[in-house]
Amino acid sequence: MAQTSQYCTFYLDKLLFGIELRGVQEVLRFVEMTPVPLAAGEVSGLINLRGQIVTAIDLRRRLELEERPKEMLPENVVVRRRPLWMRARRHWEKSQNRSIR
Amino acid sequence: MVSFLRAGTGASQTKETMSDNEIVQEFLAESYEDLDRLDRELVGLEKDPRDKNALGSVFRTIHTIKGTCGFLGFGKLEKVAHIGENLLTLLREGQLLLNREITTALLSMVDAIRQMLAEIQASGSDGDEEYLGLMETLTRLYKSGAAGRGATGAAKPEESAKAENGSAAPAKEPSAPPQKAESAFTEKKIEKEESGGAPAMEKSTAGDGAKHRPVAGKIGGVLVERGVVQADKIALALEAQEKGDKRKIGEILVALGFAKQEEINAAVQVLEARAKEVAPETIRVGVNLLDNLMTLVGELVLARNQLLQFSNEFENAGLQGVSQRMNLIATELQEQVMKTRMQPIGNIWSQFPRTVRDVAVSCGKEVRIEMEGKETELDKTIIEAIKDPLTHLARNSVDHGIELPEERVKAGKERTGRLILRAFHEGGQVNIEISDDGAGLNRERIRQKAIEGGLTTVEQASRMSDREMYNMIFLPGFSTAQKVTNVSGRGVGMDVVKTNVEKIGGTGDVHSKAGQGTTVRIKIPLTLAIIPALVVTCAKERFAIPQVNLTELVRADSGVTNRRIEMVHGAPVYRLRGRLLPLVYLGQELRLAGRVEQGNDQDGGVNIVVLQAGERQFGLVVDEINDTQEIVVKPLRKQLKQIKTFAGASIMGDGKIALILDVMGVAQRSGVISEVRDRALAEKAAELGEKKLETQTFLLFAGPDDARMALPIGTLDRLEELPASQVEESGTQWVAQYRGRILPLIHLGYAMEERRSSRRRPKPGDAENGSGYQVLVCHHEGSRVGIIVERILDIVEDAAEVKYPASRPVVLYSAVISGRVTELVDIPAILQGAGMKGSERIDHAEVTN
Repeated sequence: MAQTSQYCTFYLDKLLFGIELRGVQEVLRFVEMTPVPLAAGEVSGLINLRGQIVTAIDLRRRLELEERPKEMLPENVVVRRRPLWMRARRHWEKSQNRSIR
Repeated sequence: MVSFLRAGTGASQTKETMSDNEIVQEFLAESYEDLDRLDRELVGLEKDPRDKNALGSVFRTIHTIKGTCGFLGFGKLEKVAHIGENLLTLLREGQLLLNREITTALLSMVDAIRQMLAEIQASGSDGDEEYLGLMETLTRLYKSGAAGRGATGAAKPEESAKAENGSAAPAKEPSAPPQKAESAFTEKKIEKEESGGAPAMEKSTAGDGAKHRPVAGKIGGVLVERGVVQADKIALALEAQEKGDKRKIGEILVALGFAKQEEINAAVQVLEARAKEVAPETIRVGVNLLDNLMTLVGELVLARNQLLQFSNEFENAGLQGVSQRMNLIATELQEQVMKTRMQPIGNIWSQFPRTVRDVAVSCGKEVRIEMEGKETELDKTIIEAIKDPLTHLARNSVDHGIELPEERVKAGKERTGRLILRAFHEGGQVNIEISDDGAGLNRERIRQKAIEGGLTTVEQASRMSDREMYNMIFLPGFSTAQKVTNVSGRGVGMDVVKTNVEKIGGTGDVHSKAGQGTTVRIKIPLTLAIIPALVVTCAKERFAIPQVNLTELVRADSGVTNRRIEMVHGAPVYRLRGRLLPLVYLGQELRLAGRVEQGNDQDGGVNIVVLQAGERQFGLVVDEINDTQEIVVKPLRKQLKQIKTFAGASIMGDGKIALILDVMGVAQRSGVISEVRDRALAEKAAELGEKKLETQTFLLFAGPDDARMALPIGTLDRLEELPASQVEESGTQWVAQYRGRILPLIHLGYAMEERRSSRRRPKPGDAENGSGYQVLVCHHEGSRVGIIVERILDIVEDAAEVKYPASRPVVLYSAVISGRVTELVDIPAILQGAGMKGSERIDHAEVTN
């Protein structure tokens, strides 16, 4: 079955991974992060994405891979976006109790 | 002020508002892509019907479309996709094998979906076409497969015929949320239309196949609505017009004898009146759009701050001029955008009469509801947050407060009880009161309940004032309802009301008079989106603390630290004016890797932020206290929501993010407000009380010639540093604009020179230290005055027992404070010396300002 999709691929500890492009909003080079104390280990911090606050997840930790060597900066950040139906649902939920009348 | 009227933007049939548009566009783009793939996959499947992967893919695609369009309110599209999905389920499970017929049906479903998408793109709705034939086919195919699933074998002809008849309703499947979503959506829309008074009556006249449908905004629509003529007659007139008849519809109708001239005139009047109704220049705007606007303005404010910093560095008059103007515009813009989010409280009160009526009926009571200050405006988010607490309070008043009619008559009151809702602005906050003229709270019953519930002891209760006692009803686990009614007393008590109010930075208070009624007053901030906050640093990270929780800032020097910080039952406490303040070390609490000696700054001192968490106070020890600023609150994502220590995050002036502390959360996490700690502290305090010395708190400052001087802290309102540019001269008086008023300023150095000094009085602005003035804002006999001093030294506590008479004017006496001789300043003397006898003059200034 010929069915092609585009993927955003990246390496994590020498392993190649891919995310379907549809689920990717943008790719950021190194950005500054604000750590969140008490958060789960895989939360690496908060990013200021043009005025929006985005939670960053350390994929190495999430997948229980080896920790990133200290001298290595987490260079690439992939901003994931939620699937459309989830956003639509959120939108609908909001419209249920938040529409200005 | 923009007000939100429900004037629909044209009576269009679109189910979405403007903000939905974006998501719909995305839905369209994504779905088109998916459909193209479906075509290919289905055709491929026809050749290889057992390709599980392809079947799975097709199924998922249809499932996604179904789910998404359900949320977007495209019911028909959802229905078609739903039936298709049912069929695909069977195919995927292998209950049915894909054949040419099924493929054709599925492909025509894809076409139908595509057609509906096009319709959505063009008109915003999924169109009028019913696709009954297609749905029947799909259902029939599904039934044949489903029947095969059962033991009976092939479906009998009658059965499948029945199935076809019932085809409009999809086969019984667990109804997915999107379906609910769809119906809720429709209901909501109807409600909006009904209550909105928007002329959206097109549907009522949809004649069968009539080419022209009279629209409410037009004369024809009005005529049909009023029952003057039928829709088909209007269609005839419209056709005539299309064929070249130049007369107006009304004229044609009269000419054809379908209507009388008077009726037409009346309809025209109605139409004109409606046009006026719609005329107030309002449009409906999606909340998302406003939220986005707010975010952007927040960004703009940040950019402006950076620009201002930048322009100060470059001393370029042109650049500074532009950045100043930009500053003003951005501030104005921010205010205006904030205003768009404001809504009158009447919006939620409007539902109260109904609620109150229902409760009253079920309790057999008679209640009249009165409202004052309906137009009082509040931020949208706050309005939403207080809706439930207010409803609860209103129900409570009716259920518990107002007596039965007979009892009221016996008590000499009107049969009908009054429930009064009041809202008004006061001091930058909104006050909301819910009062009733019922029996009032019963102190004795509250006392019993509180003691039974272990909320207080007999002894404590006996010392409580009425107000303290009444406010016990806000404590968790308190309910005085003698029986559990279905109105209140369902475990959701006043404590929930209070918690909800506090969550948005508000406070609650109850007043009551036996036999005369009860009033619950809630004070809440105007907005949540932007709050004043104190920024502190701990382990090099910045944190913001909402100002509402802040009581005071204390800095304990290293020498004092050891004396004042003690351990009580293994927990640190600080002795503050004879009270014991439990301490929380922020660094430890957040497990921040910081200095070992947490909280101690370079000089070994400790910075303590005294915070109010509910009824209790505690001190938060931080590394550094930065400054106060207005911050834009942003919520945290789901992954971080469960950390109760943070209330949100905010972007600071430098573009970095700071977390906002949830003071209640911090207190709970650290256990600083637990009962055990309370008791331990009470014991310790009692012990301490016996040997307590009468101490006073003084502000130490450097006066003229570096003289060490002091003022009792009670006479001080605030300490301010005013830039030299803000100090102006009015007559012979120095003044400053301060919090919307004119504050007279007295330079302590000159006041002490007794006016016979020949030294020229300096002009404001030739400040000795260039940067600005340290001003102590004091109050005396109801008026305010600012005293300019050289430097502020410290705040200390001392008994100041050793006194010595004053040696110069405006000094009350000298005393030994913190081990050194210090002069105590005499404020009344200063005022007199400056020619300001008491308050008249200052009041006058305040009035004229």
